Amino acid sequence: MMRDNWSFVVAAYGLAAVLLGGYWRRLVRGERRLSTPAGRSPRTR
Amino acid sequence: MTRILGWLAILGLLAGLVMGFGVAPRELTQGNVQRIMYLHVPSVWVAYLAFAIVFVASLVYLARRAPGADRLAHASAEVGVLFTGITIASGAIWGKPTWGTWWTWDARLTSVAILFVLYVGYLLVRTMVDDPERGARYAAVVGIVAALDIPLVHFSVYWWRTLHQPPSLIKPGAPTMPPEILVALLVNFVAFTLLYAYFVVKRVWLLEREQEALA
Repeated sequence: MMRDNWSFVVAAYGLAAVLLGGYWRRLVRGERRLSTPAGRSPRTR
Repeated sequence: MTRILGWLAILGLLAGLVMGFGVAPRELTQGNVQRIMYLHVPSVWVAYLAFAIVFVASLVYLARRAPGADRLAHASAEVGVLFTGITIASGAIWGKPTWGTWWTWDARLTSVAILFVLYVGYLLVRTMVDDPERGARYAAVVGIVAALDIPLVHFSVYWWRTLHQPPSLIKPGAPTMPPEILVALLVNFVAFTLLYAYFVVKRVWLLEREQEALA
């Protein structure tokens, strides 16, 4: 029987979380940018 | 509606984690490292689905010149590349402790790497042509030709002798895995499919707004 190798499991799931979370964030930022009137920062709304 | 889809995807992913780490048993030979399967296999399923949709949407675009079909193909290709990247990375991380190597040029791994490069090329073609209509047309041709690699990836484990194991789930006949593992895998399939749908709906919306802003 093999060792458990939890570090590999954490690395795989961690990397996937970073990639999926990053893409999700990119979509949300794009949405915010396009739904904000030109010249106004989303923070000032 | 999109928001509901997003929440369903999050709930699905949480359920998938509970099933993969809490309900599915520790695999006898590989131990807990086998739990990478609940990430790796649904990722490649979503990649297949994404590229199949690129194929169909590209055909529709070439036949009818429908901008909506082009936007769907574009969004689906982008999300497909993301999930193919996750498939390759998680496979390499799983391969190191089980095969003793991060990467080997066997037929399955090589054909997946080619799939990744083909669809990165698809996305690049769109940005390299100044006329958006012409770019969409070229991309549609690439999207149709690149889909030929999907069956090659899937059947490579039957057609050539590979280090990679044959399909566990997407194959003819009943699955051979224990029910707890099968259910955990199916929950993750649903969760990843919901996430794919959410990403594509959102990306299509963004592409539409971007095109309106440029017009």
